[in-house]
Amino acid sequence: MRGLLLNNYYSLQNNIKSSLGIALLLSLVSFAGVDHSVLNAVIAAQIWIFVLSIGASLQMDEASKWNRFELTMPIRRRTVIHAKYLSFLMLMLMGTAVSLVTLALTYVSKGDIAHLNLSTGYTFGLSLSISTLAIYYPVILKFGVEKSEQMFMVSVGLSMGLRFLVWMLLNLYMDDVNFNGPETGYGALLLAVLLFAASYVAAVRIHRNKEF
Amino acid sequence: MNLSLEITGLTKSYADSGFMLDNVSLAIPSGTIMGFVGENGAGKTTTIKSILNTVQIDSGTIRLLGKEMTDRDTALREDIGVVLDSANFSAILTPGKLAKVMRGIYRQWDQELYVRLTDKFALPMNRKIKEFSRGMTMKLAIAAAMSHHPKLLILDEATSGLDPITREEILEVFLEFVEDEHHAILMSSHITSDLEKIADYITFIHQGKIILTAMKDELIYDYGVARCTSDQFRRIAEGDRLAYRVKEHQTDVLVKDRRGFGQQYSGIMVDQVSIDEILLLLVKGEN
Repeated sequence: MRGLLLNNYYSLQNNIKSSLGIALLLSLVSFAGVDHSVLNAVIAAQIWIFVLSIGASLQMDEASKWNRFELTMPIRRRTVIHAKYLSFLMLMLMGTAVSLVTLALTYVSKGDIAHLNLSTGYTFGLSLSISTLAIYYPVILKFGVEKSEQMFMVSVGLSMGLRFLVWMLLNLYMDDVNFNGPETGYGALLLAVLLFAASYVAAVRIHRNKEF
Repeated sequence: MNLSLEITGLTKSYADSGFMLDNVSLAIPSGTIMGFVGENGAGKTTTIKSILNTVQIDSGTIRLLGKEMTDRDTALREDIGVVLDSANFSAILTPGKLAKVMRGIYRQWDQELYVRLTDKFALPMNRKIKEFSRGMTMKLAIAAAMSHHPKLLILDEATSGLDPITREEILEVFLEFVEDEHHAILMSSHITSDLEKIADYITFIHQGKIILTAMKDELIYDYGVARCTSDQFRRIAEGDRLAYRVKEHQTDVLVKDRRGFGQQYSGIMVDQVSIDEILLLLVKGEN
């Protein structure tokens, strides 16, 4: 498992560096004296930007036929999937960690951040990242990486659709639920986490039956 | 006789292409090298994929080091080294980083041996694989495959596209490997001259079927090709010819016992035969 995680990390390393650079640049927005809605958008983008590069890494593995080769090593198929999903979580964790820089810089520039409600940025960034990967990876595993970019865009669209669905459903039972509000954010995040778990199970099944 | 690999009645079909491995059986005794020969699309890679469990077979049994291998048999895979015809590893890795990956996967990983082999093959530890030539990439794959002390090496076109000097270096490593009587190699290759140098057995596959398995020495020293006129060809009993190919001025006939044939059919010239020519006669000829 450690070796697989390391291999995933090496495959993503260059993209992680680029994402880190962009995310850190975005942090500088906090010095511009912007309001909390812009900060929320920055935080969401900082988390999401780390999952953007996943397609390139999967394409690299496919090109080198690593996907076939790893099955000849002393690991089980489900361990391969396990390592992939752990790598996804690590990417999102990195994005979340970088967003803390934004908070720190905001604190330095404004002195007080207690009054800022930044939950929308975190719930939006995390739910979008989690559900995008949850939809994208099993589809790519099943059908191959040839249409990786298109599938990524479709997954992002579906993830936004899911948030919209959560907002619609909440509006059926509650009054004045805002699309960017915390209720929709936490609801979408919960749904994304459930989708991620279901995606893992589906990916294990797809991989078990897939021929390489 | 201990068998490192035993395949019995293997069938595997692909609905989309219509290709089928048909009742493939072969066995590799420990301490030997088996060359696996066939034209493109004959079924070599599908057989290797079946052995390695990367595809699901329709029927048959495959025993690696005495055991049937399922997804759960990770300990068995510690004992199997694999070199596939492609790059195998992510192009952005360096041999140094690859070793870290492998160390995290193989319990038997021997870093000292890996360093020794990469040194022997003159592979720079800090250069990315994408900057390597094909020869360097294959050498790296071989070094990685051998550095976890496998008992069985499975090589799919491991020497193709390499220059003669590099191939010679690699063949030497394989010969050293089978000096241990518990080791064995299955080596698919188009380069039959390599197999003539190191293989103990040769298996020929054509259109998904095994058409001949024999000891290499028998093929080279006992088998022969009779160059016949049409009158001479008509004299040859059907049972005495393995395959024949009619050419413009002569008919080539593959025979199993060159000397015996020469005594039985005086006046027919019988030449020594190469693996390439045997393959050609078996594949392109008639029975």
